[in-house]
Amino acid sequence: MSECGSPMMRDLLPEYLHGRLDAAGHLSVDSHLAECDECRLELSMLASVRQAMQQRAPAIDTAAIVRALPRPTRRRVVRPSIMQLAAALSFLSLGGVSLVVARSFYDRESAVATSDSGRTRSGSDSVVGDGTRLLAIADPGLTVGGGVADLGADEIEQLLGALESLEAIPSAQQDLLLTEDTTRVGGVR
Amino acid sequence: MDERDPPDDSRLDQTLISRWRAGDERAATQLVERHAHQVARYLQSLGARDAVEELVQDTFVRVFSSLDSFRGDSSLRTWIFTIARRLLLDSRRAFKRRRDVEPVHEGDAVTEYDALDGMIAGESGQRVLDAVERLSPTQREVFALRVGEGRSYREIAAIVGTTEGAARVHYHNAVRTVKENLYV
Ligand SMILES: [Zn+2]
Repeated sequence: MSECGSPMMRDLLPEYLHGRLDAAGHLSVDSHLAECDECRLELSMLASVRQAMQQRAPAIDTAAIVRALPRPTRRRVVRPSIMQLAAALSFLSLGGVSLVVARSFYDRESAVATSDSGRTRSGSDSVVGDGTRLLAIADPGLTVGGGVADLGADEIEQLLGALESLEAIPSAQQDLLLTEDTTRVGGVR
Repeated sequence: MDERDPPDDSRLDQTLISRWRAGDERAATQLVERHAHQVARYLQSLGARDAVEELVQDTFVRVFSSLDSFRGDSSLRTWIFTIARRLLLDSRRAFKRRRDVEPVHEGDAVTEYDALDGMIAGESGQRVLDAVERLSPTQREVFALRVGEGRSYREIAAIVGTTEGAARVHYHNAVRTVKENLYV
């Protein structure tokens, strides 16, 4: 019987047996086996060990295991409802300047969103009333959210309050205020 | 390949895990079917005789409860083996504590072992298993992981908590000993 001249090939026999080698590796073990008696004998010993272990294996009721498993815990996705969106965003056209009143509902929804909404591009957005964020968007073509018709009495009151406050903001500043927040909400729709 | 031996396909496992996380409970069935028999065999090679099925179930409950901590550095099967091993060792420690209080009847264990042997088909299978049984516990574990389950040295090192080099040495010593037990 020829002695094995390739310990490396011999070392791969279990992976070969389990089909865990890539095509090239499998081929090289194949050709080594063709010329190595010792590895052929070892492989047949390993194969019978594997087979004996499989035959000895206890019966397992996989259905019973599955029944005992915990239910998947779905990660809660923070997504505002249509009503929240409508209440939060309203699009108005005012003499060619487009305005978006965005109440920062994210502040209530999640901490992540809060940090986002604080990160306004200009840093000079104005907060009106109870957290109502007043923003002027430079692009009049950008449509976000529903119309005034979707708003409840409270929202309309807030909106009117916001518009009043807006008059106090210099118009140059109005054009600059575009938040990532607004862009993101627009993308949600 | 045995029908109970689906290939260790990490990408498929990852897909199934994602589906399960998204609420698809059928993915859990597939994951269990892909790995439960291997876990049972591995536990058996560690000397677990009674309550293997219970241990396998506990293992999967633990696996699914802590899937969020599975980083995918190793294959899912390797990770499951690690958890199964820890549970077996824990149950042995608990058993030892109980035994210290209450003496065990040696006859029980022998009977269980005989019943197990009765399941083995063919004399050569029995001879082979006898040869493996005579290995040291560490050699037997490494040998079973490598030959029974096709684990790489790296995976064995992760499961057993040793180095790849040590796993290789244990494996080669085991092969030599099994051959001696069989052919001499
Ligand atoms: Zn060889």
